[in-house]
Amino acid sequence: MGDGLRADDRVRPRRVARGVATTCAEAAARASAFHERMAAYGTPWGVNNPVSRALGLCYRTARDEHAARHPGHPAACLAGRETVGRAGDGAGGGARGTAGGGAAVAGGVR
Amino acid sequence: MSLELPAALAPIEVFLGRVYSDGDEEALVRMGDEHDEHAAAMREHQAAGAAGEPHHDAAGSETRVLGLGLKVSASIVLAHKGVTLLQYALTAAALAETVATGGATGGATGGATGGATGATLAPFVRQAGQQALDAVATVTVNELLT
Repeated sequence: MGDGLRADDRVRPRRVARGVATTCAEAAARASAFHERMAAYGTPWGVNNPVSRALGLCYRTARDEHAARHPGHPAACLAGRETVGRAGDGAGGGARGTAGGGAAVAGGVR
Repeated sequence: MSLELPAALAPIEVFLGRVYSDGDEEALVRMGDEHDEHAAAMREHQAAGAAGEPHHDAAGSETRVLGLGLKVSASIVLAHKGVTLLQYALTAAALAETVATGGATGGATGGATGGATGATLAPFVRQAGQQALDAVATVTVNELLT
C-alpha cells in the first residue's frame, strides 16, 4: 500500500467509532429517561411552608450548577461523534485517542 | 409511607394557621437512590467508552452528591414534620389545660368561668404556638441558605 497501512489499521478506528457512537446513544437515552423520571417526581420537598421552599431552592440551584458544569447531550455527544468520525475516516493510530474521546462523550451525558 | 397529619390534630392546624408540611420524605429518598443508580450507570458507560483508560468521573461524583443532598432533605422534611406535630400536640394540651384549670375552680359556675377563661386565653395560646413554629422555620431556612 502507498501509505504503508494494513487493512486492520483502517478497520479498527471505524469499529471503535461505531462502539463509541453506540455507547453515546445508550448513555444519552438513559440520561434522558433519568431526567424524565426526576421531572415526574414534581416537588417532593413540598411547597406550603418556608422550609420546603428553601429545600427546593437548594436542589434547583445545585441541579442547575451541575447541568452547567456538565452540559451533556446533545452538544458533547455530537462533538464526540464528529471527533470519532474524523478518527474513523483517518488512517491508523486513532484508536487510542478515539477511546479517550468516547470517555469524554459518555461522561458528558448527565 | 411518609408521615401524615393525624386526623385528631387537624383542628389544631386550623387553629394555629400554620399548615403541616406537604413534603414527601419517602419520595425524596427514592429520588436520592435514583441519582446513585444513575451515577453508577453513567460510570459504566464512561468505562466502556474509556476502553480501560484511567479517567476521573467528576460528573458522576456530583450526581451522587446531589442524591445525598436529596436524602438529607428527606431527613429535614421529616424533622420539620415531627417538630410541627409536637407543637400541635403542645398547643392542644395547652388549650385543654386552660379550659380544665378554669373548670376545676368549682361547680357549674366554675365550668362556665373556665370556658370564658379558655376563650380569653386561646389567642395567647395560638400566638405562642405560631411563634414557636415560625421560629423553627426561620432557624431551619437560615441554616439551609447560609
